[in-house]
Amino acid sequence: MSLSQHRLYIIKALLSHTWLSFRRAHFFSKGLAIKVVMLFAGAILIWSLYLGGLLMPALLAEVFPDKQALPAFFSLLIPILLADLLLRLFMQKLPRQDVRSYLTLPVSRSLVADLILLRSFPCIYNFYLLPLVLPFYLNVCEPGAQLWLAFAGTLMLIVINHSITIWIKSQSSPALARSVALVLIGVIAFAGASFYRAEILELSARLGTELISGNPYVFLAGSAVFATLLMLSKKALLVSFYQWTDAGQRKGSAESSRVEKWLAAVPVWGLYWELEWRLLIRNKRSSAGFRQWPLVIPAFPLLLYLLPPQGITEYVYVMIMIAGGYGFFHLQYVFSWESRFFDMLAAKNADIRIFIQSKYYFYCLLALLKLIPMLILLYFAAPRLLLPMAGMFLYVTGPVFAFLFYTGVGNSTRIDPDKKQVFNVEGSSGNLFITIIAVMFSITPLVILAYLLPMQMEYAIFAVTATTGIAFLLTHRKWIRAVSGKMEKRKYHNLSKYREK
Amino acid sequence: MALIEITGLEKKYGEDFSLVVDRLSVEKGSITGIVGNNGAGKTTLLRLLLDLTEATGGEVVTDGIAVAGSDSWKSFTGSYLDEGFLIDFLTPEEYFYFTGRLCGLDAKAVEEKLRGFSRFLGGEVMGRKKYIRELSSGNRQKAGIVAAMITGPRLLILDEPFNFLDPSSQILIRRLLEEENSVRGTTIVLSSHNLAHMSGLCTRLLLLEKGRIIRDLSPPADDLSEVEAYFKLQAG
Repeated sequence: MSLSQHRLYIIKALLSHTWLSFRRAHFFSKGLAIKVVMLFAGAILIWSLYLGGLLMPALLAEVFPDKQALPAFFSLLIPILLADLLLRLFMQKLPRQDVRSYLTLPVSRSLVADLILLRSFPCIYNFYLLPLVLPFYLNVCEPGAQLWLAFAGTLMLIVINHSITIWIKSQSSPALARSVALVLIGVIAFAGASFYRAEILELSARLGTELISGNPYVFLAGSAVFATLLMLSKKALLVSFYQWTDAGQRKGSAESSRVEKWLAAVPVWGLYWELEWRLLIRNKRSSAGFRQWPLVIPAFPLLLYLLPPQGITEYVYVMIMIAGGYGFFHLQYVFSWESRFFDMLAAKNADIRIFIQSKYYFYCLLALLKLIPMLILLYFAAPRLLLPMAGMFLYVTGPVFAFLFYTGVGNSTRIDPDKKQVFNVEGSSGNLFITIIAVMFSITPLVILAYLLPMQMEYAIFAVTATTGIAFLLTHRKWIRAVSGKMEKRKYHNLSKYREK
Repeated sequence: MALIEITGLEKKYGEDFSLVVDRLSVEKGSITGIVGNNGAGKTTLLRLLLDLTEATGGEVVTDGIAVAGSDSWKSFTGSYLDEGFLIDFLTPEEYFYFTGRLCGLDAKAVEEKLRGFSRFLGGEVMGRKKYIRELSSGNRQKAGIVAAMITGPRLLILDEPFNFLDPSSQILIRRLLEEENSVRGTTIVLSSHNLAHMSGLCTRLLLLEKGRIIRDLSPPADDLSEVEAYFKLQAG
């Protein structure tokens, strides 16, 4: 085999591995039900974006009554690109999986770096805007050159954002690079919104206009930025390889925090609370969700402030998701989080009932800690929702948590809590989707009941949700006993499933 | 004649740990074992040999090629350190064919080579229609070692090759390594905690403690009771 044939074989093999790693991903080994549900969810998302694209001219006409649709859209180009970049910085990953495998084989590092860059392009963040902008362009652009230039220009801007993200993520200290980028975006967004609003909109509109008029300098400059970023990314990757393969790198120290010591000091439940806390904060998937939930505290009141509800019940389905704090998310996968060490729990002198009880109190406490500041903010943002929110807290920490615990005994899938959070289908199942849908719709009969009560709606909602919640809170020892009994019966089944790879 | 030359090699991890090897040569056709307690720096040394970790100072030269500046040494080096180096979404067969092809072996040649490993692989690795990630730790270890050896490398680097293997497989891999060395003249560098295997297999034994080579022995000429005594002393 000649050198060029050998190189060609390696490139072909690496590309085929890229396809195989996708085709053989855990998602495809899931049951048909979850595949259908997820594909359905994806189709709805694409359809919504498509509809958004069709309706965009009308929406833009409302916001910019003195502008035509295309210039109006272009004036938002820079804010959209900044928002897209922000999303990418948090969500888009560098496809560095399996790279360690290639580095000891006779494959050049340079080729591995090229592969990573190539692999990074087919990612959802490079495509999700297309269902939105394509129908819009088809509607408002003149057929022919203008339409094609609009497509080409948009694609160029997308790949530039992609390359910026990849360059940042290729650094040997990606967290630091991301922080710097976030600060820069924050400064630009703040300065743009506060002092240079008109200038940004004008610059943005001009960029779009130059693109559709086919200004070669804009395309050349864009291509040069793209190529430079790719070269810089490759250079950074070659340095980062050492870190990815360096098992001796130490990331911080594994010391106990003060919180752990406080939790451990609590009698009876302290031992399990300490374990729960450590599970949450020392693993990627759990800690990402856990650290994000404080953002909801200001976000929900802000949403209500910006989009004030006409009635009381408009936000009940959102409130179900947030009233229980991080616990609502975590308990969907309850017991699977411990799947990697459940053997140890089962073999030790650990009382499953106390274990479940401790877990329940822990997540009630977390939800309460979030509720208090949120109620304070709601007092200013939407005072009518104060009581419904408090009632919903009782409802979610009562019957909803009870339901999640009870159905959670059936969660026999193994979860690695240290794997990534985004697009991780480990632990997901058709049953889980049904559980979540059941939880969401469980509030509907209560809302109907609230309409029938002869009192103001906020009081009625509070009355029905709080009464149901308190009933479950008062009887929690009883239903926890039922959960632990069910758990004992399924113990061997779950333990064998947890051991499966 | 030396295949590996190490000069002034240093790797620091913060203030806690540093590996320092001032000068070390590994002769062609030798079997060099690295022993030491956990954290002594065995794996770090092997990673430096494979350019998987960036040296703080010094260099590793393999067959005249500085490993940090080139990829060409990979064509004659087979290695397996841990399962993170397996391509786990491939089946073992796919993985063997891939590594074989990278070294210029076609499918027939790979199959031919695999016959020599059939006893070691047993019945649980090949033809099971399983991805590598679905194999047990022992079988993953076997797949990794075989993939490293199947290409007939001039230099073979293995980290803890006896780990996860059942007693019969440990004996088999030891025989395979001896055969590889005696028949093909392969230079082997390996680390292990298993003194019994190491003393019988290696022509040279390096004892590492806290990142420093503290003994350089040549069994059976050198009495290994000194090494045993060292570990007993460490155990207290």
